[in-house]
Amino acid sequence: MKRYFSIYRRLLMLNYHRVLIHKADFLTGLTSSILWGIFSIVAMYILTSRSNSVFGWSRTDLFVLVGVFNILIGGIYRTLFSRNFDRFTHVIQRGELDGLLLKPFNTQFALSFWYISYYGLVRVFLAIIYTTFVLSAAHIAITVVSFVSFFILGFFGLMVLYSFWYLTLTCIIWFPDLYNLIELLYATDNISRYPPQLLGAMKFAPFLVLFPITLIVSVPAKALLHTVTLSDLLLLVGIALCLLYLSKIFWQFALRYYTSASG
Amino acid sequence: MRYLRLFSLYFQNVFSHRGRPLVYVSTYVISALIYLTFLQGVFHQNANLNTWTLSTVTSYYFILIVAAGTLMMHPEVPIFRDDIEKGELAGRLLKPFSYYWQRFNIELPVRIFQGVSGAVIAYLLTFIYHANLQFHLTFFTALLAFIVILLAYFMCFTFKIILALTALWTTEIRGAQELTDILVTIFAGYIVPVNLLPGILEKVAYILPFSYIIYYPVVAVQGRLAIQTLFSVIGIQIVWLCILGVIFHLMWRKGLMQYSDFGQ
Repeated sequence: MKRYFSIYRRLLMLNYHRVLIHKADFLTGLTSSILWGIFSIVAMYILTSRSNSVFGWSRTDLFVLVGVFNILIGGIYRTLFSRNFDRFTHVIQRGELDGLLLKPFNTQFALSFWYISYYGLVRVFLAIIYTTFVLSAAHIAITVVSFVSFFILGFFGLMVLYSFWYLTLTCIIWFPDLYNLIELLYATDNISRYPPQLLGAMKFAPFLVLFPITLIVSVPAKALLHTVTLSDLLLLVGIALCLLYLSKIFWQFALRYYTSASG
Repeated sequence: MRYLRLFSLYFQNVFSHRGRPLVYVSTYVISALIYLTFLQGVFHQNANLNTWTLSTVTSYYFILIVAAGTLMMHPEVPIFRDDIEKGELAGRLLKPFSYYWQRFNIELPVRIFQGVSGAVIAYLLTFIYHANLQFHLTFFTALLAFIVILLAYFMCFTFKIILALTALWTTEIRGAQELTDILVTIFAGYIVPVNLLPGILEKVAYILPFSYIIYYPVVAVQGRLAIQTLFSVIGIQIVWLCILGVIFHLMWRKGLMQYSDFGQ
């Protein structure tokens, strides 16, 4: 474990140097990240412009949901994982996984933590300011309990998303042509910006697969809104641990079928 | 004839990699269903929203899936990545086809495939949602709607080519591409139909070209536009197309002067 922390520290440094070298790339990423953050707020403003509450969530609750989405998924997840999963698809499609399998450390670690997109941290910072503003405008206090529970639930929420992406993208080992599967994952992430009840109203049973995604943002947001229950907490933590375990097992199983692309 | 042969070759290519366009269509389906379901929640409180009912709005989002698959293309991605960044433009310039029509031929089979897949999915969704795809069309309005769709296709294609050509000066278009995607999502009618946008956003949507690429073709197919409105939409589309055409020609001529490549 200590060795992996040491490697990750090195990766943090290397990625920081990459930012210094490719400043234009950093600025472009930063701009688009902030623009998508603004978009998520504008989209919610448009959708709620004709109603004060939807699926039992008030307009304020929905704006808090968007803020938490920008902190957890738009900010932290995009900073730590999204770019790695972009690479994940190409590594498998181009048959470059052999090189990683030969490296003297865990392949899942190498595929998940190689890149860090530092510009996402700016979005986290802006999203925190936005969420605090919405909460204070609605006179909802941020207590120590709500802050700590938000932090813990946010961690498990990210674990759910990471495991869900890993599980899905592992399928590329069988279907390397579907490297754009990641686009579908970006689209499914968006469902977490809305109340979980929305999924039930979709009337399409296969979409129930997306149920864990609806918990990622809504449960931590409920912690900030002081409406989280013990069952919400247990459900999120249980699903997170199950999915993480499943993703690890499924990856090891899929590796048996990896055939590489070399001749 | 040679364009037809080229088209058939590219169509074979699309068909052999059919999983990829299907994934893109699935993203349109998910987005459309998210927005539709959210609006259904709003409709539980209001039976009518600015001439829209639950059934017409459901039909709108299902047709939107087909429109997004067919009309919202992304030629700027391969142009930027392959032609400009990797320098494959030089090879394309040597081919006995105009660059615009080469790219058009590559894009068209993808759009047809995605459009047909989107139509099949939309049709299946009508059973799941117990909804009808509503088309209140006469022969004449159907003809006008077809012209609106055709012009929308050319508008989108030319606009995206222009976006890609900016890379000849900047060598980086990702920021502009993201900005365009956001503007398109808001103002083309992806989130809600344009006449449901609040206040100033609705007015801006009518000024920008994006609603003429997605929103108007969808409502034209639904038969929600009077003949007079259809003519005025076609008129505005032609104006936009002329403007985009002039910009494309100017940028192409000047951009090629900027372009540098290296070979062996």
